[in-house]
Amino acid sequence: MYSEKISRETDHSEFKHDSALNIDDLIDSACSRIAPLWPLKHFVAVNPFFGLIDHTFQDASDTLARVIGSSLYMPRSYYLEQLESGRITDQDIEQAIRACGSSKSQENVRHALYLPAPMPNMGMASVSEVLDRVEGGIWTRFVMERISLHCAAYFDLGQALFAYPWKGKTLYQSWLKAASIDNSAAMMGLAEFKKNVAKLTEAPRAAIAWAVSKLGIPEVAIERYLHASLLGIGGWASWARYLRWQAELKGGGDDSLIDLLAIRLVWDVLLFEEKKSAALIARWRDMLASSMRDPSEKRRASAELDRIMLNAMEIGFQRTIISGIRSPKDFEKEKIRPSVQAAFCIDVRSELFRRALETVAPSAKTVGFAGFFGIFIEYVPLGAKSGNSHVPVIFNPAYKIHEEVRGAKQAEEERRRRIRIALSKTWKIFKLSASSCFSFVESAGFLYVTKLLSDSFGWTRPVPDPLRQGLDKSTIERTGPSLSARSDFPASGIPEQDRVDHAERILRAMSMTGNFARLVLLAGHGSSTVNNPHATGLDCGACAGQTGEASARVVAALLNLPEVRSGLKSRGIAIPEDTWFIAGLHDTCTDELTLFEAESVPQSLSEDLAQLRQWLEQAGDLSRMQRATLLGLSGVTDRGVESDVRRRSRDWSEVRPEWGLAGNAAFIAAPRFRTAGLDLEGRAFLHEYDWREDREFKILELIMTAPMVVANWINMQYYGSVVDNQHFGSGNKVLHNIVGGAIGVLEGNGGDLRVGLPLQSLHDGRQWVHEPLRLSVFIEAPRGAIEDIIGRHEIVRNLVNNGWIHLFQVDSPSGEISKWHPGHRWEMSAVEDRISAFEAAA
Amino acid sequence: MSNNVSLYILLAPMLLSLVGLLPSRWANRNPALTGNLCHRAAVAALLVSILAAVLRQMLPDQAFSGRALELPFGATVFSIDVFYNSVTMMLMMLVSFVGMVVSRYSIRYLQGDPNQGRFFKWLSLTLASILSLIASGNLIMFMTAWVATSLCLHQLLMFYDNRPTAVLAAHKKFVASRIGDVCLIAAIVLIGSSLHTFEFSQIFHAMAARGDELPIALKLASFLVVLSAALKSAQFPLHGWLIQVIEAPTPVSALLHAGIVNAGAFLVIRMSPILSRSPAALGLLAAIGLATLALASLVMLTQTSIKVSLAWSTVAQMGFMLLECGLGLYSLAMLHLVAHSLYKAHAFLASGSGVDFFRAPQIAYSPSGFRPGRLLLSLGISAMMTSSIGHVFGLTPGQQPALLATSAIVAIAVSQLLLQAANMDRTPSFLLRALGISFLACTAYFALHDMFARLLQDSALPVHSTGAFQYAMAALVVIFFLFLLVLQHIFRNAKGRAWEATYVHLYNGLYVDVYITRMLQKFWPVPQTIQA
Repeated sequence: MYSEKISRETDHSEFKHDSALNIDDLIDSACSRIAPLWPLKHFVAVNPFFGLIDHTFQDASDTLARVIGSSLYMPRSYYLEQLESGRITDQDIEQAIRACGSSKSQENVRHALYLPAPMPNMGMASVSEVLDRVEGGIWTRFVMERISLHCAAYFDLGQALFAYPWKGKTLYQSWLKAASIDNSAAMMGLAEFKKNVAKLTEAPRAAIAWAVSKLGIPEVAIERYLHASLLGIGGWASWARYLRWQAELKGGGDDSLIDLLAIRLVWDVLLFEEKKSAALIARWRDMLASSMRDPSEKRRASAELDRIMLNAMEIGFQRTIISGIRSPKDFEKEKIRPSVQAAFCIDVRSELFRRALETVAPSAKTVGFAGFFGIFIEYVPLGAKSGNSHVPVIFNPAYKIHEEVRGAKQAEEERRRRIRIALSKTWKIFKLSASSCFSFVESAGFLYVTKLLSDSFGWTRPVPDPLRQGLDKSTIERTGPSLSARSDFPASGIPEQDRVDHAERILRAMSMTGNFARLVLLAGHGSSTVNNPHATGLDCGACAGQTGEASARVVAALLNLPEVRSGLKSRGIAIPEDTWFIAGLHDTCTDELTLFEAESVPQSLSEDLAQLRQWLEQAGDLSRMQRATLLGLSGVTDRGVESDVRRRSRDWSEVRPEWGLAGNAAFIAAPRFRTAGLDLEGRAFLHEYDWREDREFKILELIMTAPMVVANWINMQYYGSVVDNQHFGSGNKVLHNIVGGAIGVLEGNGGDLRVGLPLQSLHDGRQWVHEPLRLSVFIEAPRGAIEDIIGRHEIVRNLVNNGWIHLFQVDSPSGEISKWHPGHRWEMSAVEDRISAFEAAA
Repeated sequence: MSNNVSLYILLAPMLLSLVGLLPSRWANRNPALTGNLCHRAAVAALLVSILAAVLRQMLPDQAFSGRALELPFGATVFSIDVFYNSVTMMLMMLVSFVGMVVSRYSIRYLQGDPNQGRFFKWLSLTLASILSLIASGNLIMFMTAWVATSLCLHQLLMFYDNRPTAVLAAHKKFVASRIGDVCLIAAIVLIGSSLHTFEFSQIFHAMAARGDELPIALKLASFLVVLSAALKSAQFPLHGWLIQVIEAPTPVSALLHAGIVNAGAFLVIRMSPILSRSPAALGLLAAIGLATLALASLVMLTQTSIKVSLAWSTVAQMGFMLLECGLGLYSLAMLHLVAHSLYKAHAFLASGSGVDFFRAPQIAYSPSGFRPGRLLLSLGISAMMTSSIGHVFGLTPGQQPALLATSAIVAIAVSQLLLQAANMDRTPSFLLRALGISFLACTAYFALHDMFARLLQDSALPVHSTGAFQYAMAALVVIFFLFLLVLQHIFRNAKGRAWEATYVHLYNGLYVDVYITRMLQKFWPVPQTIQA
């Protein structure tokens, strides 16, 4: 589609006028290709190929190959290993060949796998990369380092103690200022650099246009070149994209990304101008020419092979799920009042725990729903000046909820906490500032003998727990969110007139409108780990990288209010008198589940509560045992596993506290009975959905545009981090170096800001723990309803039609499954294939 | 008796080097076992060091410093013996303690790395070399251990030898170390030829008995020792390697910053019998230290990544420690060495926790900007507090100028604490608490200094004369710290071209390292394509 746009512009007669118009579009288009990066203080998953979903999966891979020499497939050796270990079978390949519409035979494929894959492209190289090839120098790293250092200083959230002198200026303006002072380039032999910087335009878009023409980039290649330049400093580009994302959520805008592009391109030109030599010019033209060639026949054949192997792996995975969903179900159980209901986040880690809970308590019913439980809150910790959003990152919070201490004077409690935090901050400044750090060492350095010991044994945390800092143990037990407005903040809390609406909306979205148990548990999740820069990435993504505690407690409290109950009754949701909602937090590192405000559970339910506690404990044991093999603890006793996961949650040297969402590969929106009893190995997002209760398919629309998209983001974050960790992952955790306070990590002492997941979250040292598979989505709903939503939402259309996810429809009540094919085609045969192969194998 | 005890101390490095002798391939196949062996050897080394300290309380120093083991060949040239005094005692405990913590940490931290076994092998050898260095009774053994430490560490710094930046940093360190080695070897030759002995104990006695002016050879040797110490402790302008070696896994940084980079001060303290007689060499050391700390402490404040900030902080702290050495305050330098090691080891190992500070509740406070009156008030309070507590520990105005200068630095630090507190919250209850903390910090400082002065009484020969140079140096130091204090408060709101330029130059570490990298790349290029 972009070539069309460019071909219109190749008429040279109007070159000047048109290119001015054109270049702005190209800049915006290149910028939209970059995926945002959330800061470490609330790290959430992002699809790194977010800006490429309007391409087919294969086109995106080709684009990346031509831009940065990357690919969306694993190396040949990986697929070969899967073949040799039996993970990919002959039937998988056979079916994949058909699914890809290939004319290859199975023998062809097997044989071709052993041949060496073509060398990766150089892609659209920057001037510095070409110069490195001419001179054998260190220019690329040098330029990257200069830009990265500038970005770190400009965006710093509070690591540096000295104030940045150009606060308030744009990134590009501040760079112009700094670069006209900075002598680094001169030290590297670029004597004219500062002088040339002084001559630059102050307008970033004009600078980009100037650079593109100076470098002689052919028009057809401009967008790709801009895209490559941004990916050349991809980490900071992602951060700038995040700032734009946040600004747009609030209705504004942010052009740091364009500034960054301008800086990157200006560097290219200034380097080119000063190092110009016949060899450089020749190599440069060579690079431009080769980057414009279409992929060769050999490459295309190779891509086809990759495609077949990826599909083969996915088909093998889908087969077990399809067969499980199709197996006969017990509908009768649905009608009996469950002993307890427990709602969990759709997170794949919940699947394991839910299954365990259902195993130890067959009379219990579990439900899956996004972990913020549908309540849009910003949560303000006790004593803090501002709060954190606890809603999915595509939304804005609607209510400000304060953390409060029950049965205490809030002002006093706040004051106490503030004083403690202020004191610890004062001490920290004493430790770090230039005039006092030496005396700090001599007077207090010895304290670290005990600190080193107690941290080594996991008795203490290296720094205070951010959620509990400045609170007494007895206070912590009494803190929690409050629904009502505070007298000093009239705009806080959830107003009474809104409460019934929210309660109704939430219950309906959870398909929880009748047959309530006496005790209903709403369990958010979080992960307790220490000394882990990516800790918030293990918390609840639906709560914007916070734990699900606040949301679960708010919703439970809401649903226990008598006036809300009576309001719901008038709207057709009758919650029995004896039903009580209780909030909990599932610690995914230890599989312990904490219940909140258990003392307010009515006396009449005390036996149910005791029973629930016992079940939760047993379920914890069972899920830990299931995780044991992946944690390298097979053959260890129950207690041994329990004590080891506890250690992991407190060990400052632990780089694999838990496996997070590694393995994720499926998303299922259906009533739980469809999947009950199936071992989904903690690889599936489970969303409760009963289309018969869904008037006008509003809930289905929500599921397909929010949770499904978020699941795709998570899935692709893992996918990208595995297939190309260099560009879309964050490298080796033991080298991580937090930059900008809480922005992200560098690997080692410099280089680009890193995005995505660390290797240690994906690989156990011997093999990949995460299988890079695209998400297989199963939705139990009428075809027409699904098609309608695909038709109305571009993002959904792009995902399902361009091969970023596999979409399956589950028929009710038969459980028959058909696969969506782009062009409005549902296909049973592909699925039939999968099943017959499965049955033949069994 | 003496021989047995000395031999016993050498058990510490010997156990560790046994682990280091395991072949890399075997170690990589059995990483958990190798890690455990390394950790246990480090624990054993700590126990040995503690026991030695206990034994020392019962036996006089001399019993420890005899020749323990002579080699059959050329006994007079190379012998293995132990020089055990308070410095040896403290450093043995420090290094084995840090070794214990770091090895334990690495068991989980590097799990799954295909070269984890090899890591423990070289970690063991590095620890063994440092412990041997500390225990060395003579200069030849000292020199051997000195070089061995550097070479073993090189293996750890090259742990990810597929990373060009790691290799570049290791090369930088390698070059700096070899220059330092040459200086040290030359110094040792000069000392040996002048005093006809390589034994520390004999050098100590010989110098204590001498009253006259130093011969030119020893003067030269003292300058070479100063250079070697400055290179070892990453002093300006050859500090760049210390910033960049965070290209190695975090525990390596912890060990390096806690147990190796401070060897410069250890060398100076060991050589104090000679250096104390060479005011010019000490003056040079003080000047290098002051210049380094001045630069590095300012650069540190501009840095934006946690490990790089920590590395600059170490450069500054090393500068301060060598400044104390240069002023003849060996006991304070020793206190600084030990306390800084413990602090910095923890800071590196805990560097993954940086994000937690930003997740904690951000509290509202109203900074009031720079108030000269408040500055003077806080300086007055802290000066009173420092001088009265100092007085309790025997500090009098008539003392060494250097000692007064360091007390002034404490006073300035305390006033920084008070100013910061007043900037955050000006309620009496809060300010009283801040005062309480200041009082505790101040008392801890003087108490620890007193303790170290007693401990080191017989371990270093003091500087005899206090010349005009010392007064000038002390004054300079105090002025500089006052300048830092003011600077920190006015630059919060500073504007203008001069400040912008200062910021950019500082943020880039005055470009020294860019130039050195370029030169090194010319003479010892690192292939750029090795990255996988």
